[in-house]
Amino acid sequence: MTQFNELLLALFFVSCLMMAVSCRLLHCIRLVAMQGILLGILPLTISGTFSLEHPVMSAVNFLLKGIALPALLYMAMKKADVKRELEPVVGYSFSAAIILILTLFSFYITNKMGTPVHSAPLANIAIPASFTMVMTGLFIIIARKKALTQVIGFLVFENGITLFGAAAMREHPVIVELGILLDVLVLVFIMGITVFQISRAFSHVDADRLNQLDDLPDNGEVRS
Amino acid sequence: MNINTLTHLCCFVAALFLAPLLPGIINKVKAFFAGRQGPKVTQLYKDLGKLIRKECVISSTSGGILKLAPSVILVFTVLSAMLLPAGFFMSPLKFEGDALLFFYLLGTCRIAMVLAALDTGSSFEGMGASREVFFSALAEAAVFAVLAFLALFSGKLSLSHMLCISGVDSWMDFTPVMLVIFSLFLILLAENCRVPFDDPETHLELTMIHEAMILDYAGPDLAAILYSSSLKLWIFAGLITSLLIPPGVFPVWGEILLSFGGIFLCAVIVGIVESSMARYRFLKVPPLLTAALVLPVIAILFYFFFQGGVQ
Amino acid sequence: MIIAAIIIVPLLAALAAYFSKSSRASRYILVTAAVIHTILSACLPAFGEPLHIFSNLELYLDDTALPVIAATTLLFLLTSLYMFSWLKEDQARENPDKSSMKHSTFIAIMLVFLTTMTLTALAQDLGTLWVAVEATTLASAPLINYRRSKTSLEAMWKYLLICSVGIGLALFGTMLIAASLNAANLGLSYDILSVVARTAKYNMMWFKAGFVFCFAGYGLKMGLAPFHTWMPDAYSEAPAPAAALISGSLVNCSFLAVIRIWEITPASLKSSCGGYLKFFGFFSLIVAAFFIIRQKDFKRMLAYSSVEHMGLLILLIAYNHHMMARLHLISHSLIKMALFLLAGNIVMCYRTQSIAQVRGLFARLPKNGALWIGGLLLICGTPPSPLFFTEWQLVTSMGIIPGTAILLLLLIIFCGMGYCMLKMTEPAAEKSAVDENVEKLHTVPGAAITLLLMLGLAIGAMFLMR
Repeated sequence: MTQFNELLLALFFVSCLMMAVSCRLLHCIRLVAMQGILLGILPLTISGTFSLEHPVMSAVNFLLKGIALPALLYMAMKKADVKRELEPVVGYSFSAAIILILTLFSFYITNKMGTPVHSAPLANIAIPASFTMVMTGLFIIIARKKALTQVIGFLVFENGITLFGAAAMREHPVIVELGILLDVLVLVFIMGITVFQISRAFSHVDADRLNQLDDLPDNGEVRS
Repeated sequence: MNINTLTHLCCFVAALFLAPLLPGIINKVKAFFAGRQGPKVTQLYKDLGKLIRKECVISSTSGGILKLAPSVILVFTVLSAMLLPAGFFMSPLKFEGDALLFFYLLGTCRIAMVLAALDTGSSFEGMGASREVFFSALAEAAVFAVLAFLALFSGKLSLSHMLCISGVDSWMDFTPVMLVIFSLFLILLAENCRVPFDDPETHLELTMIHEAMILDYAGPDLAAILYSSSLKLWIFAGLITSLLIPPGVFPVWGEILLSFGGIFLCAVIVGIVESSMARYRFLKVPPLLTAALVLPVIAILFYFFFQGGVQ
Repeated sequence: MIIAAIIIVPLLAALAAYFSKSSRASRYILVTAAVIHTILSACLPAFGEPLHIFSNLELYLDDTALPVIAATTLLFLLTSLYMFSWLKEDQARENPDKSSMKHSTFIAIMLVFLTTMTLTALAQDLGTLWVAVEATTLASAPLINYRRSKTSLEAMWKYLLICSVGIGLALFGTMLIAASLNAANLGLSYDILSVVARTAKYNMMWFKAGFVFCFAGYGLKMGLAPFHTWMPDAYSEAPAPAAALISGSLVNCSFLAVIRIWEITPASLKSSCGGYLKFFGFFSLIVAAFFIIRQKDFKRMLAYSSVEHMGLLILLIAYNHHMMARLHLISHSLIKMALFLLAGNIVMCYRTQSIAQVRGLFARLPKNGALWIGGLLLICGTPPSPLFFTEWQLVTSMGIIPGTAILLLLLIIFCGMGYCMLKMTEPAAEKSAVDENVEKLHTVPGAAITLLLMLGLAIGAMFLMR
């Protein structure tokens, strides 16, 4: 079982890495879906103890993060008609190097902080994995221009937080967990619709070209 | 001469004879996926036979390197193949640090080929050489990350020890080994100019890399180069296979059969990869090779933190 | 019972408004729901027994959340009264081709927004708090895109993305705080956590990491510099009532979240964590000062004024003036709401947000203009504004150098606002008639400002009596 969990955790690292070097949005969406599915499986196998809440939360995680959210993203991608991230702010090789640095950093920092008292048996790998995912998500949001890629980055970030929750063995009451998931679902839903509206209104989805709002517009004129 | 050395020698000789099968297998697999009949698996043997019987045509503008390079490449590749363990039979030539020698022998082959390509003075060959050097420089970092992992994992610097890890069963630390194998596979594709990096089928001057460099060769020289590149493929497939085969579990003949089978399986996988994806754009290659560098580093982290967690 | 009702009533009203046939019906639903919400909130402190959801989760109103819920319900009531006439006027002037959002949808989203804000105030554990604060983001984002123009879409996207990332950081912080507990799974209710804080049962390293993430996340939602960038965009693009609600009560909810985290901080970490609060408070003041002085757009100017007041609120908390913080929170909400509504009126009349293009405010909008000037003076802390007393308390208690620095920054802000005020009331070259339709919309901001003046006078009298 330990080896199996270890393999799952390794897949989180690999998916982060692959997401950093992949320019095709479809690949990124598939990787996010993979992370979601892993997050559905992992809580069941990692803890060793068993309670009735685990399978329920796993199933909900699996359905929402593994299937529903990627499907939503896929539809947004189809509707907005974007396929690739062509000119990222940070190039792909450099992104891979940054993921490496982030991985090293998260191992360093978690090693320094020590594992929390009540944590899962594999927490000394799972917690760095979650830190890496959180930072990778933030990095993708910063380093990519397309609005849709930024949503994907947000999901990676969110997955990292979920993984941390599973690894540190701190469960919120089920209703709070469901609330968190519902929030994320609605968020991605609204973001998907917004991406579509942006693509329709601006005929592109580059977030960095959304720059009409500024404190001092170049032409010195304030909008009316 | 003890039994270990003898077995290794037999395997080595067998490898020398079987290596030209690998490109044949790859092509067969690709033909299968494309729904074609395809050339026979033994096609390369026939090609080699034909080429050896022909005479060499040497460009009048070239210096001596063009003539020298094929023999250097052939000899050094065979030498590095001798350093490779077969199954769990360690190479008789092994010494502490031979892993570096192993990769630098292959590196010398590349330098010879690049110099020969420049020697012809043709612009295509120069372009191919430049790309070859660029990719292999990136791949080298990944190679050394893998070496670092293996050295830490086995505690030794000799290739035979690294690959026939006796103390730690590689299947116990499955995950990091898997990451390293994935990285090694990427390196195999890059070093042997296989599909996501280079397309061995293409003869379009602007896109080819390896093929561009050997445009000026003919006859026995070309045969030596073709043979060496098939042997190089064998060597890399052998690296992967001997990492995966647990030592001392099976009887001797099973071990040998497994390692040869694994190498052929590797060729089949390369064939599948080639038929399922297209060559990457030039600019997309560096990210992939950087990924191949990152994976062994993650494996190292994994290995050490996991060790810390088990206690 | 009351707790359940206060959450369910706006939701039901939202449903009713969404499916109502006419704009008029949905407006009546809005005002009715707002009145009911106010009455229920008034009953809460006395009769609101805790509502248990499962065994370990409950909702009730405690002392800390009292000012927040008071400000929320009061603001919502005033805004909904304003909206009753505003929607009609807006429909006629700005939106003849009906490109904006449907009124019934807009009102329904506003009611959902009210529910989420109420939930934030009533939440009694960090998990529910997070869910509620995130829900406020989600409910308020569509409000910004009311006009459905390119710029409002851009503002909504920025708001959504920046705030979601911020709130995500807060979730991570919440998880870290949970991980820092040195005891078995206790849950995350504030009561338990503050007991834990007293008995020093936290793993300090993890708690501090959690505090930093939570503060960054909720601080971003509050609009503290340097995470304030969404604020001017969102405020300048949102329609007047939405801007009033977001600036008036949404930021209070995030502020409440910061206070909750601050209250469960163990004593040994108070000084180092308080350092963060002071730093970001000061930094917000500095950023606000420098952006207000060069501002050309009066709605953005108000947004930066919000950044300033959030900084002051955080400083009040960091220097332990809890009562003053409450007073500041309520007064700031009221004035800011009034100012955003007035700004909406001015935009409606002049069709521009540029300070330079608004001239002769007194000629075209005499009452609105007077209130605008009064509001700007009040928000700068001119006595008898209640903000004067809170700022005075803060400055006198914090020592000579930081106190002077704050006074200097407040002076810069006052100069910026004064410039805006004078420019806008400068007589225009050509004579123009009074814009009667817009002028009618002054009642609600007027009421808010009068209320505030009375509050300020009462506090002033109290100070004099002492």
